[in-house]
Amino acid sequence: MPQTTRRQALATIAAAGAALAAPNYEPKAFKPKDFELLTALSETIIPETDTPGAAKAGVPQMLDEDAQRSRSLKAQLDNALKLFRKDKFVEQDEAGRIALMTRYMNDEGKRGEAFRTIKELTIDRYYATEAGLVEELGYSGGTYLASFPGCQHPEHGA
Amino acid sequence: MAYEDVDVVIIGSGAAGGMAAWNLARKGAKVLVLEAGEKFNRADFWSHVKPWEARERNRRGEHAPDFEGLPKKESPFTNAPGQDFLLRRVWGVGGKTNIWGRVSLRFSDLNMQEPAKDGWEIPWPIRYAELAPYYDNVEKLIGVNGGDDDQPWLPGSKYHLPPPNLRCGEKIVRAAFARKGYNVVHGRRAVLTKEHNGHAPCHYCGACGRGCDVAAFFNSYDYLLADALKTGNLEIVENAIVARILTDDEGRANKVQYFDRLTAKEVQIPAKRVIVAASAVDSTRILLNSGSSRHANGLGNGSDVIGRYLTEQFRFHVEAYAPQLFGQKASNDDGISGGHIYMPRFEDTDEKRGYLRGWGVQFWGSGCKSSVPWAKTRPGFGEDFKKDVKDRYPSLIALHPYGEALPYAHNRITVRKDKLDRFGVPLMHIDYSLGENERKMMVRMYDVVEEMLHEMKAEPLPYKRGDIDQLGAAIHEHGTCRMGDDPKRSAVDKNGRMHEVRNVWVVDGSVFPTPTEKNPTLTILANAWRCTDAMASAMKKGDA
Repeated sequence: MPQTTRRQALATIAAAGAALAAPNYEPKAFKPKDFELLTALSETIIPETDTPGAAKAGVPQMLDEDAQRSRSLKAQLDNALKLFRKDKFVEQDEAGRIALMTRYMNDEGKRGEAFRTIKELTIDRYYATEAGLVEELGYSGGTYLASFPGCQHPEHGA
Repeated sequence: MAYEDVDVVIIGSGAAGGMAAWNLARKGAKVLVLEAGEKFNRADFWSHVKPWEARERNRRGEHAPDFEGLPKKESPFTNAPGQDFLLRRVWGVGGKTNIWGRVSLRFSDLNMQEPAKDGWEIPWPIRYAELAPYYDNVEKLIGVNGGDDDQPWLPGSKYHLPPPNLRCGEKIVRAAFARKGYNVVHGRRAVLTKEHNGHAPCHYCGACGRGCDVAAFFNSYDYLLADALKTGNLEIVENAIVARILTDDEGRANKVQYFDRLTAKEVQIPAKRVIVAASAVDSTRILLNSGSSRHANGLGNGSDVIGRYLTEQFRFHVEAYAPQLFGQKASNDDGISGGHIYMPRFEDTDEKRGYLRGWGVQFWGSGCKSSVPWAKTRPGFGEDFKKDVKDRYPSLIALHPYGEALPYAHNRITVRKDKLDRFGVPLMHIDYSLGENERKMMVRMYDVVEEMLHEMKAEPLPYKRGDIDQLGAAIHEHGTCRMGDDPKRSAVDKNGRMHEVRNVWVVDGSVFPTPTEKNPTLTILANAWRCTDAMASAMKKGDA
């Protein structure tokens, strides 16, 4: 299958937004439209590749849960979402979303702050999930070992 | 145990109090330990809870044991304006040994002789030779892993358990330091790399900081107090927040006053002898609050040294990526949690550098971990970002130099009559800042760290030269009840016995005249054993 097809497929999936995040999850902190936007944003930060992206890992749902408990987090996210909504982020195709987010990333004002907010919150949650930590990064710790093998690469020193 | 039969009341049950209780109880003394908190239950520890499981549990309203909550609530302290001293305390049986860092380095004779040599404040009243047999005994008792190296600034040991294998990043660090002539050795940690005295070996889950579910590293309860309780000579009173040591007309201690944390009731325990071992800062608080007509300035503080000369090592952290490890397959790097290597101090005081004393380096935090906070500092987003994080995941290395801070009279703990705890007992105030000596040493530390980053071709995470960790963060407080031969300049004699109140002993880290650059717990254990041996001999002779 050519690369573009996969990308297009992923874009379609990402655009499906909330449905991908958790089919049965009903957001409580955010309205469905904002939750869809949040899903699209987090998935653009960490997209699905050969391992799950932020949406499938449940990041939007985690953010919704956390925002229910933290008024400051809710306010922080609302501020970011407002800007992206105004710029019609969800309505873009994948390339459009990347272009728009790049503009945010390079912005030195409010949009740059909105980008950092979404990025940092997504990273914090994604890499604390089993999908992010184990499937993506390959973390295998926190378990019982009879012995600790240590480094197995002679080229790294004695 | 009837309280009038008690030979020794010990305040605190951590490394110092646990050792004192164990040593005296097995020698036949009747010992009562007063502990401000309760026993932690190992079955409650979240030792193997993965990050995503922790989130689920928190959502259900479950929480990991809160080791540090109690003293913050019961005994908060204030700082001098503009200061923000980090004081980490654990109230509960075993104290900080429940979650300590386990680094177990012998102080050297050079460390102990240094104040006498350079003249900064008072000399240590003991030499390494007096402590060496106790280091041996402690290591045999608790189990310390390490290498077979022996050097001027880090005396060796015949009793080390096998050291753990090194992680990839640690090998790269060690090789690079060696190329520049720096001697990086196996760390020395009180973690059992094989079964030892009936204690289970480490299973390399990497969760030591949350408490060990099988007690595979030394903690004061499982390694000392549990055995001491079996003698029938020890009783531990939990939830006993000690306020004061009370004195008779001659100024000798005769009671210990505490408040029951659960009932808020005041209790006065008769005491023939008192050992203060509540950790440096809380021991100091208790002594300063124990003033009377005979002890206007706090108990046994005619010299006005108690509370002064507070020292805490200063340190900083530089994390970096080792490009040699980019894209390597992730491995389980938990090991014994924390560093498997150490760089001992290697420089004598050199007048040309303009500072006294020295520093060593620790290296915890190499390799694949259960969180990646550094990912937020990586640029971009999307597929490239995701790949970049994955590539760098195995490559983390970290350098943590620890510097010795000089004792200064103005760095001190005081108690304030205008701020009381809920029992009406004055709370602590801490005044602590670094001086020019420390700042000059820090420059040298950064120079060597940067030299090594360059040698390794490592890419440091964002850092600012000159930044240091929050003061107090090393959790190695000393000096506020220092030992010495001169009663005018020290609070206790070489055996921890107060110069002015002969039936009170202090055996925790507060007695160290200098902090050295090393982690203190091994030395606290060895010294508490030594002091209580001397105390027991004196008791036998009717001298105590």
